[in-house]
Amino acid sequence: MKCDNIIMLIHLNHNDELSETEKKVLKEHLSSCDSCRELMESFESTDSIIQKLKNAEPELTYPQVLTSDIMQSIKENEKSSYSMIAIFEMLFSNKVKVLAYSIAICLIGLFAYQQLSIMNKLNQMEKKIALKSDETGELKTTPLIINNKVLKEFVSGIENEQIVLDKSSLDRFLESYKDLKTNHDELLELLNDNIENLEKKLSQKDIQKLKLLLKEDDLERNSSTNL
Amino acid sequence: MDKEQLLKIIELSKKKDHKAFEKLVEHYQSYAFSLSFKLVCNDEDAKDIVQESFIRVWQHIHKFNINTKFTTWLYKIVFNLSLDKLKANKRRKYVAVDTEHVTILFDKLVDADTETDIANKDLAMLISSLANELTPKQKAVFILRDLQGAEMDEISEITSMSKGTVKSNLYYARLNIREKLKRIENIKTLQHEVR
Repeated sequence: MKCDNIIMLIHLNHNDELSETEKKVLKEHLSSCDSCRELMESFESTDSIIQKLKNAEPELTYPQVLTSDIMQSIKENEKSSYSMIAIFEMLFSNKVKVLAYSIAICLIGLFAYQQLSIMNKLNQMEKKIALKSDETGELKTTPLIINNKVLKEFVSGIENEQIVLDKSSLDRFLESYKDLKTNHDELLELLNDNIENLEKKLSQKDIQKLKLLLKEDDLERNSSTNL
Repeated sequence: MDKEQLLKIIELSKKKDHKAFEKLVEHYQSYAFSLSFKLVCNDEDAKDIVQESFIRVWQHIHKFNINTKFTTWLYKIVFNLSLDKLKANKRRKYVAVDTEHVTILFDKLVDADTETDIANKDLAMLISSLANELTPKQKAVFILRDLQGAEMDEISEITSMSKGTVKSNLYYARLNIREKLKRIENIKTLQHEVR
């Protein structure tokens, strides 16, 4: 083997660093190569310096202080982790769990009750309107939808102050629904039936006006019937 | 401390026995300090590393496998924390190497007996001057093998390097250090001749 390949083996010729085969190769090469043998011998002095450096252990000053610092840190870490665990345990204690579950069940129940009552009211309202729209008692959904649509637009018109609450404004508004066969009376009837719901949407002032308007209309109608 | 005693202390420490763990710290802190000091070449940093290492040992002692050598496990923790410290202080020069002073220190070292008594500051300077051209891996392998006397398998375990990588790093480290020591020897010879 060439000397270049042997140099690595020379540098690693310490105890368990070389395999048995590598040791054998090195031994054979050194027996026949003076320069490599000289190189290896030259390391003796440098290796003795390294050996002395190995023996020069750094001095650990005040070891008791270091031990005490270590134990102190460990105890402090434990304290902080214990307090974290305590908070965690408190958060997930049975009492807190029961309370949290009860609140959640109550909220879910309340929400479900609200939803059911809203649905119920809507159903009742739609049935009432549908029955009124059909004298024969048969449900007709198309005029209902149209009337509801008209009512919605009318209410949003009042809300946005596009419609003034007087008879002429109503007439103007209903002009645009001529094709849907919606008349003044039908709308007023619808408004009268939904007055409770409208109270939630409109201001008190508007409601007053609307009631007045409906009363006037009723009076007019009654007087015309009497005549 | 024999193996039986050590196992008993470890078992007690696993049960969070502070007194038992304190004994473990007392016994092994100087080993840990020696390795961290030689790696970071700084007294205070080495102590910080030892402290942090034992805190980690305490926190993870339940994971310690009794079939593993305790010092290997401890060395691995110290080694990794030392490397972290070196990375964190990359820009900071730990020891300013004074060539003339280093030559005097080497002289002292050559003349010293087997038990070398040398101040920490000087030891840090000697190690730094020898290992300052090595890569972190070469330095780690050199310190573990030649200055701490760890076995090849142990070094492989501590550094998480294959045995082949350990060998090649050790080769380049020794090549560099032996050449450096030879240069110092040559300077000394020249100085001697001039006088």
